[in-house]
Amino acid sequence: MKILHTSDWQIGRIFRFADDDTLGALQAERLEVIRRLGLLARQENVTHVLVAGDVYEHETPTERTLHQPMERMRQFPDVRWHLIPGNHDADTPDGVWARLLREGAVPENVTVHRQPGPVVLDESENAWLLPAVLQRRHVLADLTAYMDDAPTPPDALRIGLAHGSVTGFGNGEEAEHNPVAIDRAKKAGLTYLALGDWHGFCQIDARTAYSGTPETDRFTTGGGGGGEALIVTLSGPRAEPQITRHRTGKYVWKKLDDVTLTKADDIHALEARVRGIAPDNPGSVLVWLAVSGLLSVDDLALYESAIVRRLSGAVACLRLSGAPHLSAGLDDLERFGTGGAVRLAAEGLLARAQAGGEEGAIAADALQRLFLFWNEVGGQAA
Amino acid sequence: MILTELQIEGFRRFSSPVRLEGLGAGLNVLAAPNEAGKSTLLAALRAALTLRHTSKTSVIKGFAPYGGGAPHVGVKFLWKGTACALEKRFLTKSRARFSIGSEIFEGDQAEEKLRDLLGLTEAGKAEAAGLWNALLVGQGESFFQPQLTDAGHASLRDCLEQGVEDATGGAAASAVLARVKDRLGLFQTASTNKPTGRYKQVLEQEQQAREGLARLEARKAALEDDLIALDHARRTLREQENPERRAQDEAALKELRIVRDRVLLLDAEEQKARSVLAAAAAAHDAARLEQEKRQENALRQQQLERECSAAKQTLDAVANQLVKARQKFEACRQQREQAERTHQTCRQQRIAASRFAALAHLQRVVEQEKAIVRRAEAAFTRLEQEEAVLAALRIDEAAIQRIRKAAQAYDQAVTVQAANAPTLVVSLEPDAAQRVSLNGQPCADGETRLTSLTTLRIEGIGQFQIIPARLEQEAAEAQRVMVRTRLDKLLEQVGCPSVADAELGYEAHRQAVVRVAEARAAYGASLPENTALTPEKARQALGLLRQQVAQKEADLAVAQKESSAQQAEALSLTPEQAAAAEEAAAQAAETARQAERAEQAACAMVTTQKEKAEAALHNLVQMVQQLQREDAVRVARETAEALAERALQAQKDQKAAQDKVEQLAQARQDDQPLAVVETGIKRLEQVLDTTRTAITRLREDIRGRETRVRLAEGEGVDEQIAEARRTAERLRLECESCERERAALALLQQTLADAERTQTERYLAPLMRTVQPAFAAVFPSATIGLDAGFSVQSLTRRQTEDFSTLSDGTREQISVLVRLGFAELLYTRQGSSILVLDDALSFSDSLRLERMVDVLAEAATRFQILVLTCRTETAVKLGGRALTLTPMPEFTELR
Repeated sequence: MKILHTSDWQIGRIFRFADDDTLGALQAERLEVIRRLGLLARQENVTHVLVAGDVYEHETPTERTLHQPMERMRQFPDVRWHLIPGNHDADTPDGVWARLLREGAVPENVTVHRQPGPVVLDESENAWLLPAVLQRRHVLADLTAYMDDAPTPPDALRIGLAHGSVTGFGNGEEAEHNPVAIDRAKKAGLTYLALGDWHGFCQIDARTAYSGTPETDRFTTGGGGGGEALIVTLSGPRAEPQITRHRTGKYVWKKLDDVTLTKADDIHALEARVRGIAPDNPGSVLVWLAVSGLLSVDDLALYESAIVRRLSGAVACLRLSGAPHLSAGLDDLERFGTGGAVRLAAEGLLARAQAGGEEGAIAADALQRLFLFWNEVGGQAA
Repeated sequence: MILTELQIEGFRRFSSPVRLEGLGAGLNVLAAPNEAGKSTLLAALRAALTLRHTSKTSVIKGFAPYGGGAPHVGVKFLWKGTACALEKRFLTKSRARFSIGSEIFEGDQAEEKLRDLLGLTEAGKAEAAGLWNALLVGQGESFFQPQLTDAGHASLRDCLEQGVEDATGGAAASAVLARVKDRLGLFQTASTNKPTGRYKQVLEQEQQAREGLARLEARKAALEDDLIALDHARRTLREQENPERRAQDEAALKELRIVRDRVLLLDAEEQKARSVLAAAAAAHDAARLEQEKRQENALRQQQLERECSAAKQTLDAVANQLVKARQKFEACRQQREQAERTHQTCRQQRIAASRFAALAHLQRVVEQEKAIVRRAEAAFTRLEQEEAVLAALRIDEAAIQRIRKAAQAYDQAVTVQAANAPTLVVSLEPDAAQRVSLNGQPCADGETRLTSLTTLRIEGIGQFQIIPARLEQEAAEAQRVMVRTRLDKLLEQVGCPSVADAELGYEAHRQAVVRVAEARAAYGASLPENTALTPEKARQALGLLRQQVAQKEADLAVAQKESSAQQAEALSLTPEQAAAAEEAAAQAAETARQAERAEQAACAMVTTQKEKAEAALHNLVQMVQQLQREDAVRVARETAEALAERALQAQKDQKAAQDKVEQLAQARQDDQPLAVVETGIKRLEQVLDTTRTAITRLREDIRGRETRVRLAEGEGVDEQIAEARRTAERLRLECESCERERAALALLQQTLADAERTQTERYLAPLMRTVQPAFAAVFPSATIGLDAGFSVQSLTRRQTEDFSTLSDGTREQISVLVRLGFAELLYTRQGSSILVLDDALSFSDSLRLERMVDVLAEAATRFQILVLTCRTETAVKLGGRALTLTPMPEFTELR
């Protein structure tokens, strides 16, 4: 038997750093990945897709957001989608799941598991799903504990499905909420324990794994970085499952920390590095640059041109933290001539910039703009 | 440059040639009325210096005279000591000739040479201009700042120490500043620096986003509150709707109601038994009370009878005390009467003694007053004698004053008569005195007044009669006689033969007055009142005094007669002794009265005691009789035996009722108290009601909250909040970016503007140094602000004023001063300059005009200044060379 393991779709997620266009594209792709998951299931002859929580980002999504993933799944009637609530969409009395069921919006091929307990997956009753159900955003108890004693027929496949953090895995505070025992699969005799909550692929042991989100949504996703789904082949109740990772995400998220620019070569190197993330499709790249450094007047103009303007247009999203500062000296002021009002103003601004502080920063900006304006009218001056 | 000659012909009104005469170094003034052609002269000078002779522009054509002809101008001037001559003819047969020293240039060559000399640059096709247009100031042009062409600017810049480009950065700086302003204008308004454009839009959007986010978060909070409350309400509703709990409550209520019915029945029976018990107890108590009352009455009667006996004994004792008290009172009354009689006798004796003493005193007073009367009578007699003497004297103060005045008038008349008389001055030889006589008398040496006919006889010579002037002597004599007559009449009235006698008579009168006054004072002193009196009052006072003495003598006689009867006894006691005896008798009488009053009070007290004892005895007897009557009534109503039997029966009935009550109370002890049962029933009923109400309320609450929750769910509050946060964050970042950009641009603009101003000031420093002295002379403590284009921007006195806001007069003065500065600068640079002003300073007040005149005069010591004016007074103030415009027979061509 093969299953498709995915989690953390988080439909409706808002990306604060993104502009409207980028946000629309990212949100659209988070829906589109459901279709790719369905296609993957068909491709792999998988009947059951296990979604390990956090289908929705918010407890109260808009009507459109509420129905969008359901309608995507409805397009694959030959696939049965098993959903469980996650910490983002816990099954509260007036939560998103109650709302869907109240409206009759859940398709026939979709099963929302709202109660813990064995659920048979096939007609021959050889495969049983043991879902863990979060009824609050955070619980302190291990909701998978019941699986230890959950009755299933002998020699049946016992497949756990849960959303939470495995304990004792060095994940710090996360484990305080919605904990999952790291050896739950062994204790409960599970053939496979499909987990959700972590956005990057992570295999805990031979029978326990996080699939990660199918479409990356963070610059700092741990593990495999996200954008994947797992095809798990279960050969028998005691046989180790065979886990295969499949790329499902479209966008590549990349953060480059500590980018220090001091000369033109650094700028060119940075541009090349970013363009090298996805040379064939730079439009699928979201990149976050934490930039610092000191640049000369010309290099600063180059930075504005090459990075801020050109590169920004090349990638899907260019997020900048910090900026290189103008490194100007009296030599740089020579271009203003030896006298005149502009030279005098430039000297004043340079002195104030070198004094530092908040006013110094403004003076540096002003000086930088003076260079730009001077260049614009420089032909006349010359 | 010093103009020495200017002649024109064919210029506007001057179709015939004229010449401006009198030109020379320093200040030149042409004072001529309007329409005299001053402006035409200036136009001709400008044309000669700046327009090409070949020019056929409208300007040149405008110079042509109305009758036709070619404008023709000739100028002679000194250029750095070298004589120059310039002649130009325009339009028809145009030509130019220019000579410097011995060199002569014709046509275009002349034009080029002139341009080089004056530093002119090509301003237009037919015009070469430099700073000269600013220095040749036409009529009305002085009100405006110099409109410098590029050539003018260039000339000025040539004069300055540094090129404008070097100093200010020139066009590039302006272009940068303009770009900065344009860019800054995208973020803030130029006038108020308020946000504008996208910046303003982003600020507003951010504010709206924050408000929207706050609303959404409030809505989310309300939703969460609703969810919590909804959960609680559902749990509560489940609890309230629990059927087992309801059944338990209803069963408990039913049981309590059964108990309550049973308890109520027992309560009714017990109530009845208690009523019977109360009636039996009341009957028993009544019988017992009647028995006790009868016993009490018997005891009371015995007690009252004992009290009656004691009261009788007390009454007898008090009666005896009253008899004794009345006897004591009578004795005291007799003693008091005796003491009062003794006191009366002593009082009469004291009165007699006092009267005798008063009589003796009166006798002494009468004797004293009689002595006073005698002294007053003597003084009065003397007063009468002195007054008689005074009355006999006729010359008083008024009479002597009249006589003295008349004598003085007479003396004056005599003096006047003598003064008007001729004077005879005699000076005889020593031996001639015997032979000369005057009016028969020997004539002595000296002066003699001749008031009447005088005969002078000289022995051996003859006789001379000297007659004074008749009219004057007659008038003086008549005056003297009249005055003498009046004097004599006055003397006759007082009986004196002469004025000296009158003076003696007045002295006697004065002494008599003094004596009368003394006598009156003495008489006044003799009277008891010692006052100054008039003669009549003095007589009346004496009479009154006599009457008083007589009256007192009569009174004394009567008193002596009355007191004779008591005299013998009174003579044995002094008044003091008599008074002491009276005082002692009075004290004895008072003591007796007090004793009488004490006995009278004691008597009254005993009488009161007796009356009280009698009343008490009477009351006791009455009470005994009342008790006896009550006993008789009770026995008549129920005998003692019947009463005892009734009491015994009532006691038995009470015992039986008490047993019944105790029996019922024992039966109640098995049940709860009724109040407890009732409370329990009420509580359970309330619980059931409350539960029903709570269920209804909870269902309504749940419906309401569910409705709100559904609504919020549909709106996707969480998603909206996330989106709103993203929007707010993005707008915040954009705001910060805008603000940073705005701050940088504002700083850049300010810095550039400051730098440009600094550089401009540095660039204009030579011009300012040149302008400032003259400027300070007219506008003390003021400075002007020039821009790089040499235009005046402001005037700073106590505060900075924009040039355009100044008055016409002030603007004209500043404009003239700036032109003067240009001329100074040119003079400094080239060593030659000139300034021509046509009808300038017409709006200046007298003070400013004088200052301007001083400034122009001072500048004229260095270079030539021509002032063309229609105002004679201005010309007078200016002084300088007086120019005249003289017609010429023909234009003198320059050679």
